[in-house]
Amino acid sequence: MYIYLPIAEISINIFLILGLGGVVGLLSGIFGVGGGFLMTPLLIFLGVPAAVAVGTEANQIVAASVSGVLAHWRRGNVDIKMGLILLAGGILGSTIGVSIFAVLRELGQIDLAIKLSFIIFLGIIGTLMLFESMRTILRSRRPNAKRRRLHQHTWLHGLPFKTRFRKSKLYISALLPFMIGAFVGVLSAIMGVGGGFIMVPAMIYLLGMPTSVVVGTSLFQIIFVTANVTFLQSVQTQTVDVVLAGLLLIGGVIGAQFGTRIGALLRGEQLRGLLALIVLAVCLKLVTDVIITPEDFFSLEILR
Amino acid sequence: MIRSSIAKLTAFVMGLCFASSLSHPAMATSVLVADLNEKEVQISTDFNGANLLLFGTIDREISDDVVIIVEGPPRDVAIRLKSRVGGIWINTESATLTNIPSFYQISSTRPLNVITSSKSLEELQLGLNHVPFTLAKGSAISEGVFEDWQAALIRNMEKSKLWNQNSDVSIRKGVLFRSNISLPANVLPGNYQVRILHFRSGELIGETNSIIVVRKSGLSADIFEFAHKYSPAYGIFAILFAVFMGWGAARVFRR
Repeated sequence: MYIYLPIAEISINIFLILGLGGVVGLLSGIFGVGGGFLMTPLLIFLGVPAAVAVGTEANQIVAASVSGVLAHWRRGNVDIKMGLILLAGGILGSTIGVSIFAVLRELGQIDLAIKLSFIIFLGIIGTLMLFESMRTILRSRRPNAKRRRLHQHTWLHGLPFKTRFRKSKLYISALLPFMIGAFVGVLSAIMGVGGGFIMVPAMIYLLGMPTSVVVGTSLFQIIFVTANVTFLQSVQTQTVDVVLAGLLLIGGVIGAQFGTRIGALLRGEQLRGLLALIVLAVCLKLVTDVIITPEDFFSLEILR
Repeated sequence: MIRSSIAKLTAFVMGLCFASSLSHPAMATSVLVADLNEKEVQISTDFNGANLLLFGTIDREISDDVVIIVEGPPRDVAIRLKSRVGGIWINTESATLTNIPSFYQISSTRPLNVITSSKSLEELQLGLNHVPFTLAKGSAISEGVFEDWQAALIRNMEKSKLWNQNSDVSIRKGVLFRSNISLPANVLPGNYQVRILHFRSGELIGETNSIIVVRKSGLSADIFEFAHKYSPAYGIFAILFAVFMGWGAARVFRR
């Protein structure tokens, strides 16, 4: 059964979209990640225009994050003060990001820019996660190895505007979360991701936040940043396809239910190692896309 | 049998009227009449391309040919050329063309170069290689030869099934001709001009025209219009829709 996507302006098998949403939902349920970083490249592989994939994913992540944050909210695992500062940076960053996106689209370089951003970040994050999980797995076999310090003090902690974040048990410069928020916001707009896969490690390793509040706080601010991206992309590039987003979401919600159950059966470091391999596989596919000599050196775009 | 001969007769009479008004007085007179099984195509939510049937009659002599051209609404088209920069393939050159038919199907009884001379194909702009290749204002081809870019346009349009050249027009019993027009799922809405040409011994002796209207309809048309005409409202709608869906999902699966 085919469905004509009104904004993407392509006809696509409805079960393919539901299935894609389901598989990515399953993975995000297993690993506790947003899945945007997998969904956007996969949509592009399916033939959805890259710009529409990005705009639509932002919209879908709003929904996914809303449903995800509610559980954390109920358990009180959201540091609202930290979230708001990350968000302030995120709004600024994503607004800049959408403008960069529009310029790159005009120049005909947006496909490449999206792919390169994914290659860089999936490559870095995938490699780091793989090493980290390997180390944990190895260490757990040598029980009396040295433990890591909770968090180290670097020049980053010497910045002005020191603020107390009660829930995170931190006394750090507000500039730090603001800058992280802004940086992730730019990426969120260009790549059509929530940015959790960068935000979460940054919160743990750069800010030194306790793991318990990291996911909830990250989801909390992702809702607003992706909402901002959805709005700005709707206005500036008209690339948000609500039909596509809705279908992905239905598949995703169902997949995530099974995913969380499977995830509960696996150990943390094994999960991270597995996720790292998936991330690296997607990265590798994108790398081959841009380095393999294309079948046709020319490409065509029908302008509106 | 009787019915079909009456239909044929009617077609013949109608064709006479057509021919007298359209064909050039100096040429041999053509009797040509054609119709489509559908004149309107709706791009609705379940749209996945459309197949139309064009049929008609001619007073055929042994050397006669029919050429059918379907041309979609014109658009500007950007062609980009990739080259290798530091190991990766980047769009380095681009040219913008103007007034390129977003759809172009030319079907004929025999291959075009058999039907008439290349000179008259060029004059009549028949065939994929004779679609006017006009650069947009301020655009130029800075790299490679013109022919490469033209070939790239044709190749890529054919690949996306928007352009097509074939000799699939069949003629039955010497008078009835028919041809399929296949509009792929990625056609643009607009007016599609249909021209049916009648050639005798390489000379164009008659022409008749028709039109297919392709329009978006139903929910997908409404969403498209909403997104493009009222973008800010659409953006807010998209966000609220997502918040509602997310909240609903969390409620349904709350354990």
